[in-house]
Amino acid sequence: MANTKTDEKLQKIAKDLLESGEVSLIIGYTKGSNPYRMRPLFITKAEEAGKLSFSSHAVQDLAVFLKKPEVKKFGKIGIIVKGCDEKAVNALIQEYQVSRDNIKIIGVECNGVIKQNLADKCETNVSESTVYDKCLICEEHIPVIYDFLAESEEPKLVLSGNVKPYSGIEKLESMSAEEKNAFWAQEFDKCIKCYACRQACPLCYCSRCIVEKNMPQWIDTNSEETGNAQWNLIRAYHLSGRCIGCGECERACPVNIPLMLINEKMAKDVYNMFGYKSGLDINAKPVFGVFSESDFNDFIK
Amino acid sequence: MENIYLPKLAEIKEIIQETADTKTIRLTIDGGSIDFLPGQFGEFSFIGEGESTFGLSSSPLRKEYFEFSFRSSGRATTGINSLNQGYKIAFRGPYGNYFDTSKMKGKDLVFVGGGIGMAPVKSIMEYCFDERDDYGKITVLYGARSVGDLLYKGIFDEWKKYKNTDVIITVDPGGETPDWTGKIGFVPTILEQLPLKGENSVAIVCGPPIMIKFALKSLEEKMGFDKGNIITTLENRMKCGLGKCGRCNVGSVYVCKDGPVFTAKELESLPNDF
Amino acid sequence: MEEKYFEISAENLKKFVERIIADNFEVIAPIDKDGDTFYGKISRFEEANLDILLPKMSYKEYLLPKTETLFEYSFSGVNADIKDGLEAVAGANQKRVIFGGRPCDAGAGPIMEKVFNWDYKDEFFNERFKNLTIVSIACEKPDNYCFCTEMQLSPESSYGSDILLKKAGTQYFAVVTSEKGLNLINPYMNFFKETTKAQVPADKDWKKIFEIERTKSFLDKNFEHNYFQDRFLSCIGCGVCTYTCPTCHCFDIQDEGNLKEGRRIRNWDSCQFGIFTLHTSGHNPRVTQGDRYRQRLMHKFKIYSEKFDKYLCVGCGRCSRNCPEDIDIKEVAKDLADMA
Repeated sequence: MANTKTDEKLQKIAKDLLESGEVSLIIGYTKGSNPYRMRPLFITKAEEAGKLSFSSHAVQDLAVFLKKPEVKKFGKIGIIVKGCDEKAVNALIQEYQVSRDNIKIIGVECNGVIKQNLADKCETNVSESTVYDKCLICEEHIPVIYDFLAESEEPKLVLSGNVKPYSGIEKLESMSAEEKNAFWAQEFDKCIKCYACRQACPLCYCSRCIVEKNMPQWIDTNSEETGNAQWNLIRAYHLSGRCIGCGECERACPVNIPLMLINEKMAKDVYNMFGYKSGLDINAKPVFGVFSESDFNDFIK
Repeated sequence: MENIYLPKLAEIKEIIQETADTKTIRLTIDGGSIDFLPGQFGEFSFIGEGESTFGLSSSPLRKEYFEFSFRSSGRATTGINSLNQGYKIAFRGPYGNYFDTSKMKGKDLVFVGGGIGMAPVKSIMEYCFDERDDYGKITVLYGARSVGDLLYKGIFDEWKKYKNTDVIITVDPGGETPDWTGKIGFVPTILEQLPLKGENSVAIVCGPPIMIKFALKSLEEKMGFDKGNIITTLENRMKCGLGKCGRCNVGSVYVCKDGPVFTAKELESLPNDF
Repeated sequence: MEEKYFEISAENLKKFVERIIADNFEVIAPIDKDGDTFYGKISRFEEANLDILLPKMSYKEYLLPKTETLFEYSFSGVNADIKDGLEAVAGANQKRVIFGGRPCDAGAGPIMEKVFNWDYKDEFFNERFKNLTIVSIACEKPDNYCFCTEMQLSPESSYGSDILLKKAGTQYFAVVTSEKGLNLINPYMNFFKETTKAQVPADKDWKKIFEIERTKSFLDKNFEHNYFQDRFLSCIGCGVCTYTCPTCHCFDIQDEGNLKEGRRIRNWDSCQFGIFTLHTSGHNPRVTQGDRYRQRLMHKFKIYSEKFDKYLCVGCGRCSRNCPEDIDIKEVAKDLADMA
């Protein structure tokens, strides 16, 4: 496929950054293993910039690579990010995992990415029924922060309102505690403890995850009822107030657990209680990293 | 059907506090030792706290008990460390290959150990002591970071009693105490000062990787040991010990099945995967 | 057993499956679930999706459960009472049939069996493997991620299947390769009509795009190679490749319980995790994700084959299809073959 104007702009930005030595690595997208897939691309030489590309199949959140020791070694890095992914970069900056000075944010305007299971059936049409739920509620089609921006030539995503994003959350909220338990017991039963959710998450950067600690053994190692529930719950808590909603955990999950129902519900609750959304302001303190006298405390009886 | 993951229960006969954080535990099954060969290892556990892999450190010819030495560091070893005499340790094994004594018979032997790496050396060394007439001169060089880090202090004198046997104990510079009468210096340094020749000799070297690296170099280059006559052991994280769980391999070699005993010559052909 | 051949109409195949379900067989087949297809229990023939190429996960869990109890323990004083976990496994899978899987998945069973028996015999695996009956359907249209032909199988291979069904127009030919397969259909012989090998359509001439021996030959010579570090910079170490793989069998052994009672279990594990090989001392032989992906390639295409004269891969392509970062193992294996 020929380069789009967006591709050309991305390639130009990357080429300039590498040539000038402002960065030593660019993380972006390139064409994947079939026409409906994109894959991450790492380039260190200006002449490789022509491989960069972007499309509605660029599902990966490349911010996940910023936590990798092998990538950190490159020092100054340029990264191509969609609006959602860019929020992950912001959260990493907020949590002192990435220095703003070491990163060039190459934003790309995104009108939604196509769900991978549909793309694998050759879906190319961007519409409210083919994109991820995160795209339907997206308010950052253009990233919040960027050093460079590649605008999109694609038509804007049209929302009729007929597809309700994260409709499962409302259903869950209307359930009794027993019904909720039964729902999640069934979902967690599928879990195989591969920890792909953790690995795919740009914000799961602990050098030693709680499941890798055994003195004491916080989380049962089994992949049965107890171990699976403990794992999924602890991850939900560790992400509450932090998750930026990129949905990579759910996309990576090989057994299709609707993890975004948990994460979005947590994000929604955090917003309702603290008026905080993660990843929007690099100068904001993480919501659970600060105490304010005005915080509600009616849970203390 | 036999469950290969099922341990046997071994009774703790005696616990020797070797250093601040290492112990030797003597075990019996059915009142005595088990059949094993020097160099082999086992999976030990205080059931409920998980298994750990250790080499057997006693001579297989001593039938009253079998023993292992360990450092308390993680959950499994902390569990074992909490047990007293009379309690049971779950044991699986013996596993792995062994020091081939048929290739050592009639030859001069050099045993080199560093820190807790002395444990597998002790097994083959005491085995040779037990059949002392089968071997030529025996030289033992054992070192640790400090006097406090030396294991087996209580039996050094026993080792020295064997005929035609030199026992040299050393500690790293700065690790000596005022009353220390042994050597002071790193194991490879002291090794080079010994009057050893590779001819008709076999060296067995176990310890931290850096010590092995330099000791092997000295033995090969300065003393003319053939690579096939320098024998060491490899460690890698293990779970099953049975060649199935898939984590201890170094290239195509499984430490649990093809090892843990390797000659320097064999090590040379392995990729840098350990 | 010498292979036997039968004809069965599509209608009778449906009746056969419904009859074995009625006779209390648990029939596991590809079923549509959560927007994808997974293996799961069916209660009616129609629930099986026989058009899908491959379910997202393999059916490995029926041979090697994601968590398995090796034994249970309880303490009274210093004495531990140990209850052998094998007791609970006896007879497992006797009434279970995998129906509608593909030749690649079927091939994984005997490949894993070698690991579990090459020296010490793992009876947990053996009991399940011995009893599980596998009825596969030959593939007509492999996709671009498939490479079973390169992996010494083929879309029509009967290796590892007790019965292989080959579609021909509106009917199927059943190639029965084992006593287990014959025992399954024997009570329902009225649905089947015995025929000869000559009547069964011959296998197509499936083409290979690379020679796996060349991949191995590259791996033999190149433990240290920039390719591994560069190509797998995009690997996030999620382990999905290993967990969805029908032949990846590495496991962890863990204890769960308290000072009174508990159990020792084995769980699925993955060479893609940093902690997999981490020593107590803090030393790790495999530091980078490149080291870890290399290990997976080495194990599949070199290490296993040196022990067992086969490869630890059936070419199902799941690791490629399921990789969140689009690492395509067929492409990688071909790259290595091209560099050899």
